[in-house]
Amino acid sequence: MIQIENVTKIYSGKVKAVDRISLTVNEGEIIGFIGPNGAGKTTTIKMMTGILSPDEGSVLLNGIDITKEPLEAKRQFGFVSDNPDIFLRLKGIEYLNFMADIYNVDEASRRTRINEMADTFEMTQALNDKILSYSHGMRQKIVIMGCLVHSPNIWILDEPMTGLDPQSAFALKEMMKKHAEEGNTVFFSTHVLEVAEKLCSKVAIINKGHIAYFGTLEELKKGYNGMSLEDIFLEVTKNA
Amino acid sequence: MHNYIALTVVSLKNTFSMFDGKGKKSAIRKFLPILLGVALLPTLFSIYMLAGETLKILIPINQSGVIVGLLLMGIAMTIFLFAIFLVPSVYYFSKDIETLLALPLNPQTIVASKFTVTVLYEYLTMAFISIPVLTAYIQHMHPSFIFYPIMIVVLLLLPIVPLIFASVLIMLVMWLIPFAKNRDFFNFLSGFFALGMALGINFLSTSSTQMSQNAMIELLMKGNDSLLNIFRIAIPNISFGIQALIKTDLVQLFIYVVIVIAIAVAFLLLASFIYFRGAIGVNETSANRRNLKSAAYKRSTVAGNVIITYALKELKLLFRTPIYFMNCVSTIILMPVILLFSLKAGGSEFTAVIAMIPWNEPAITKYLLAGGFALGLAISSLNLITPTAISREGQNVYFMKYIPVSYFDQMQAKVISGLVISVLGIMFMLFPAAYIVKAPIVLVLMMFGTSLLSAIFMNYLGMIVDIIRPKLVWEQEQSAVKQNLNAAFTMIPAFALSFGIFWLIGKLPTASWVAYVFILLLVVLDALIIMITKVVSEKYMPLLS
Repeated sequence: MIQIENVTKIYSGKVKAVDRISLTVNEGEIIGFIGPNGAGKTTTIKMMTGILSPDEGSVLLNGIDITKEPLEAKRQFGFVSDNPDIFLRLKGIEYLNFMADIYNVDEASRRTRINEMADTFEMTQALNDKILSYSHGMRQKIVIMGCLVHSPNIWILDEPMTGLDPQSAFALKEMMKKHAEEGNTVFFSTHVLEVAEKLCSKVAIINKGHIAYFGTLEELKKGYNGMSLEDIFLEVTKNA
Repeated sequence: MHNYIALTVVSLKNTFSMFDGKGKKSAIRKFLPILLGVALLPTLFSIYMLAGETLKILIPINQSGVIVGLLLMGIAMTIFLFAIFLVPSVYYFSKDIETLLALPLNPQTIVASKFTVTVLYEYLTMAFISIPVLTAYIQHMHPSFIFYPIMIVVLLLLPIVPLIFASVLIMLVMWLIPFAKNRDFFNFLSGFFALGMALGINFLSTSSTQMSQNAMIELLMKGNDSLLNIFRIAIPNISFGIQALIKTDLVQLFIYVVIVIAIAVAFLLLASFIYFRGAIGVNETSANRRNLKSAAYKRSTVAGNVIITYALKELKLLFRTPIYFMNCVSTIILMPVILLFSLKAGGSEFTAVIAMIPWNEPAITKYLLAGGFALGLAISSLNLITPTAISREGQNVYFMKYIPVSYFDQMQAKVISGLVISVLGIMFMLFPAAYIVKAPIVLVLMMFGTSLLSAIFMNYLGMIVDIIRPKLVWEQEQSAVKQNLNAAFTMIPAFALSFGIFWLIGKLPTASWVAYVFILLLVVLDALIIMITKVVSEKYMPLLS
């Protein structure tokens, strides 16, 4: 469960990137976080993961406050950033084993998990090569695998589909659905409205640091008779 | 021309805005540049004194111009060596290259713009050597007014030719040697080439210091120094620059300027033919794409302690990233080699001095302990690992913030990686040297102990500096270590501490308890700095983003 309560982030003492937003993501839900560029998506995600401290408000992950008990809160989630260019001179397998050590995953579990994910993402033959030799999509896959190696209850994914081939994108979407069905929480940002439409139990639309809409897509569509999702998104962000 | 100016302005803004760290400006950070100036003063003053003393020998034999010649050639040689490292990363492997190649720019514009930025950067290096030497020259020679504008023109144009020569060499290699386009391989290759040259020059200069003063004067009178002659031919404008300065001769200055312009024009013409041939298709690394065998898979997935795993990750990145390997790790190989070269050059005189060392003298023990301490400080400050440990993370510093490992534990892991290299460096220096000078084993082990304690201190100190002012915005790995002033900031306390320790040792009586007190003092100092690191990491790390 994720609880974001009245969270505000101010840059350079004056620019309010995020302004008193509140969201609750229950277990079993997949939330799509949508908004135009610069709306405050990445800032919100950074505050949820402890990369940035909120100036006001609090973020609770499974009831644990990320500011007050950072280490315990960080154990609750797996995070995929929007930049997969990390530790490029480690081999894929070294990176995954490093992440498993960071999250104290026992040897049997890490071996099973890495094998399963490498099969799913067709990365088995790339594990022994340096990440530097990977394409953008392969880097994205290895980062996703690193994020999931400790089987976290909460998934926080910043633009996770970027660069993925159709098979891998499909596999990830299926994994997200299964994870939520098992009573876990998935929170991901995206620009692709169709992905949000097919996958999410709810969407949160952020614009200029404010939550412009938070609820199911069905409820949203009811208010905009017959309009396409794209038109609704443009309307919501224009009027926010 | 318009494109050139636009591109250069953008690159300059990018390069020079990256010189500063990121984050909130604290009082300490505002104060640090002044501290850096203070830290460099002893070195600048030594260069000034050395130049002054050399002039005192040269003036009576009417050879004062030699100092100007040595200065210009020294700068040219340094710039050439630096450029061997700099040119590949700036022209070929920097992150902006793929964007630039896709823009409608001709090769001369890209090369000219990158060249301009590099020249401006070289001025910083040049100022460091030339200011103290020229101050000494002006003070002793009292040159006429015309000397000053000539000096400015000569110095401003000085880096251009050696930089062009290095650029042409690298461009040819990138074009003609297919495997050079593998970035890692090329960086190792160019790194070892430059190190080899540096060692060669060191060996030659060590040999020449063995020459007696009379022999040196005789050689100078004949004007028969082959090394200088080689350089005069290799960089053709330099002799005109030297003559222009010594004789304050405007005709020589004119020829100097014309040669520089001619070489620059020729360079741009050549660049238009060969730059794109090398730059297009620069790849990063190779891959096998083979399944891991079962046994290898098991070995690769063994569980480990978090701090040790983290430290191993740091070491792997240090060894596998050529720029980091050259700047942070290679010193442990380089220093003992230089030592051996120097000892070899010392010859029989050195053996005689060794024979006279009274190893059993009680006073020598306390000075050797202090020597061990200074060795630990020196080796640890040379490897640059902890003062750049966070800077090297660059834009990926966010990783440190979302993982469930405390900031202090992460700092400990980074310090361990620095300590491993420091300890190896100390062992490679101390043990062979002890073997050569036949020092008693107990003394050597005691020295090793104190050097270990000072290495711990120095590595934590570097860590603290990098936590307070990490340089996180950079385009190429080179900037994270070489254009990072953090290592220089650790020098101030290191100098002060070395000085303080030797002063204290001198004051203390010669007795066995002195050694115990000294070691206890170092242990307390280490405990203190570890505690400070914990406080600083918890205060400053949350501010990074």
